[in-house]
Amino acid sequence: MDINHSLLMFDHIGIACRDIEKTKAFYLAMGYEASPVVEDTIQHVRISFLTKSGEPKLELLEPMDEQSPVARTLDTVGVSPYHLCYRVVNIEEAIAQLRAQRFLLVNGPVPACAMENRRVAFMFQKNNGLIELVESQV
Amino acid sequence: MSLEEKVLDIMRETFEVDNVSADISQKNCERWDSLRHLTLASELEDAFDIELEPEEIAEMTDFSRVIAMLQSKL
Repeated sequence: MDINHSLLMFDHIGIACRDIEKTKAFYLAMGYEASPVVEDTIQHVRISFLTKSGEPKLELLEPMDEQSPVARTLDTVGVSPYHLCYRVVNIEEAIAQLRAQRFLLVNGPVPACAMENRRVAFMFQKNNGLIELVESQV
Repeated sequence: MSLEEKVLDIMRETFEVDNVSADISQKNCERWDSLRHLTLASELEDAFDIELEPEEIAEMTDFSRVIAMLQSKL
């Protein structure tokens, strides 16, 4: 497998949940801080980021309706880690490199209001699951 | 092996079910969930050496649509 080692920089773990308030209570008790909840009408999800010094950033995703892909994940596996997200400098270049590694482009790139309107894309490979790419800068 | 038979074989393996028929759809197959849907798309890309666009993946909701999509690519 030939891939640029600096192509993907880890950003956060996405966690599918049914109720952000109920799920984040556990993390707040562990010392995480939660960002205000943002509604992303493109992805049909409500989002809150959880941060704690020295720990990986977490993204809680709650479906806004049954159209949300997160709703289908919850139906299948319940509350669980949903994707790993990586920052990329050039999202088109990253998509092209990952397509060459047989990753499917599931959706995007589209602006993500919960991430300063930086563009995101979701990709999937049967051996590595679902990943999200987010531009480092708008 | 016909195109239809090959796709049924791929669906049988992907959804891990013993019997798959030409009337299979996301609505009537519990094991055709969102993750297996993406795995199916991935298996079809590999098996037929094609590239699928996000809209095409989203539209593959039953056997006949999968076959129609493949016929348009091959």
